[in-house]
Amino acid sequence: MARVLRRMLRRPLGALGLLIVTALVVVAIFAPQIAPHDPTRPDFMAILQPPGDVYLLGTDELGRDILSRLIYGARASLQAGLIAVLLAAGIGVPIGLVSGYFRGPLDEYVVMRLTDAMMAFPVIVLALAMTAVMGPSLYTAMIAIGIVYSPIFIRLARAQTLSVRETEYVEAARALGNRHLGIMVKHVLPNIASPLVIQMSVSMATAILVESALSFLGLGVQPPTPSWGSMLRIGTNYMSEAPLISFWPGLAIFVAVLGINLFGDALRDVLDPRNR
Amino acid sequence: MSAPLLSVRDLRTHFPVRGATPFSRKKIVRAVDGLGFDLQRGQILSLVGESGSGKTTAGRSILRLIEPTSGQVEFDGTDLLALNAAELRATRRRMQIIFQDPFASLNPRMSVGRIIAEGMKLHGIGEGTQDRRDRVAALLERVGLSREHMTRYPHEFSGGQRQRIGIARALAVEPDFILADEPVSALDVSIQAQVLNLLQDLRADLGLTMVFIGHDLSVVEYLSDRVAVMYLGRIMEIADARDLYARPTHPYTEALLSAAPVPVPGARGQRVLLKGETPSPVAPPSGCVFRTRCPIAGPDCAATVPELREIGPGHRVACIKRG
Repeated sequence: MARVLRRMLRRPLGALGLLIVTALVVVAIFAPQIAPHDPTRPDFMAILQPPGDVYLLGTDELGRDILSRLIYGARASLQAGLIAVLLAAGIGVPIGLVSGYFRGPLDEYVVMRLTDAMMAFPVIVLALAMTAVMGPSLYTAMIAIGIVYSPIFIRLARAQTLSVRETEYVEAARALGNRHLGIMVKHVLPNIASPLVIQMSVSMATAILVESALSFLGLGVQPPTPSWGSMLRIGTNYMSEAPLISFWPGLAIFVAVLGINLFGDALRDVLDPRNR
Repeated sequence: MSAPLLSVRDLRTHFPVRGATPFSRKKIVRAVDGLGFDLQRGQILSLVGESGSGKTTAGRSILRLIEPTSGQVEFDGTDLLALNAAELRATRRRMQIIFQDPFASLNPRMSVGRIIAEGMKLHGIGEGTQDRRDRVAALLERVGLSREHMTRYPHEFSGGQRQRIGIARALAVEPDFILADEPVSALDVSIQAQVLNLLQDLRADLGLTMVFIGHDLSVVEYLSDRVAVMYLGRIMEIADARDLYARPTHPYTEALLSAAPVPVPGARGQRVLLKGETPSPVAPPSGCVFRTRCPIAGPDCAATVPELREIGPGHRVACIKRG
């Protein structure tokens, strides 16, 4: 673990990604200590303020401190990204791995056609329908995103497994007397991990965006709890008077997505023994 | 003669191939079609033939890495094809395989130590991690590498070194039988001899019984006790190595031997050239499968499938014209 981190720090982009991700996590965890103001307390004497001394990044339409709301908003966004992706990969990778390893009609006609059907819907529409059914909250948004993203992981894990299962080292593993489960865990999974790690980082970034979109539509985090998506939505109403209200959460999303992608790239490189 | 360690009878491995459309008739590739031989303990039998002759499929079928369609494989008294999955896994300790491509046969994500120790762990060989580590070190030294290589990864090694790692992995479970599937054909010529010598030494020291699959006849001659010549999934001729090279009887064997390079230019006798290509195993010729390319084939060759007939001690040929 320490070695992985050290090798990651040797790459400039990896170090940057690690820095951004660490910073985000720290901010999210210590939000109450860091935030200069209460993110939900309105100050009606200071509505739509530009950045200034008291409110560093200005205030929104209710006079709430934007910086504090951004800091608290990191919690919702990071949770949404992380949990949604872990759920998606947790559902998708085992199904794709087993399906691709054993092939057969179940793989061809059930798993593949179901993922086709799921992928035929736009992510947001499907997530929208699910949150509508389960009731709007951050957690239903995360579950919905996780389920909607799982076909990507099924597909990817299956496709990778299809090529790895034909390799001679998998045959060697069989010749040694491994069980199917042992072959899948020891020989297939480590060799399909690289693209999955990348996909996880990409998906985590887009999951943050989808959570923003759901919150934007009022189906994610409920007011007055801040999330970057809901802040962005509110900001659009004041685009002409105070464009910075939506600029800041937009910037936060941008930086978070960038950081996570850089982190994912570096992680993939570092985990590959060939790059040592 | 004692009971053979490995006895293969009428082994067939057929693959269905999908037609051009879902409605066209299903075809069957007869990759291995009635293979049979006995192998005594401590001997090396080579399977030779052109590409497409089914030698690799034959090897995989014997180990049940590919499920044969029918036939019998008796290994030290047990019928391998009758074993269930758990019994087969347990039996795998006694029979191992060395692969052709050393770049594809080692898991790139596992350290060399783990690769070699895997089989020991699976079959409960060695007491604890430390003991296994010592055994891995001993194996590495046995195949000409060193203890320090344990923590390295496959990509750090050359082809020849990787093949040694593959050999060490096979030896780690102390098998009685090893299938070597063209273990040197992917290697540089300069490395080939080293790996062959290693196999030769191991066989002498450990009393290994081997099936060696190859297409280089000089390599085969050097290593084997018995040689079986395969064509389109069948054995055309099988004999003791010296006998086969001295008295090739089947016209296909003659052609193969005359195509092998000789050390002295001009020392080669009459060259037997084959016309055409191997017929498709989807639709093999009737009667003798070799008749379409055989220089001495007659009309009666299309009528009967030649049986392997004994023409000398341990020398059997499937040809109605010869022997």
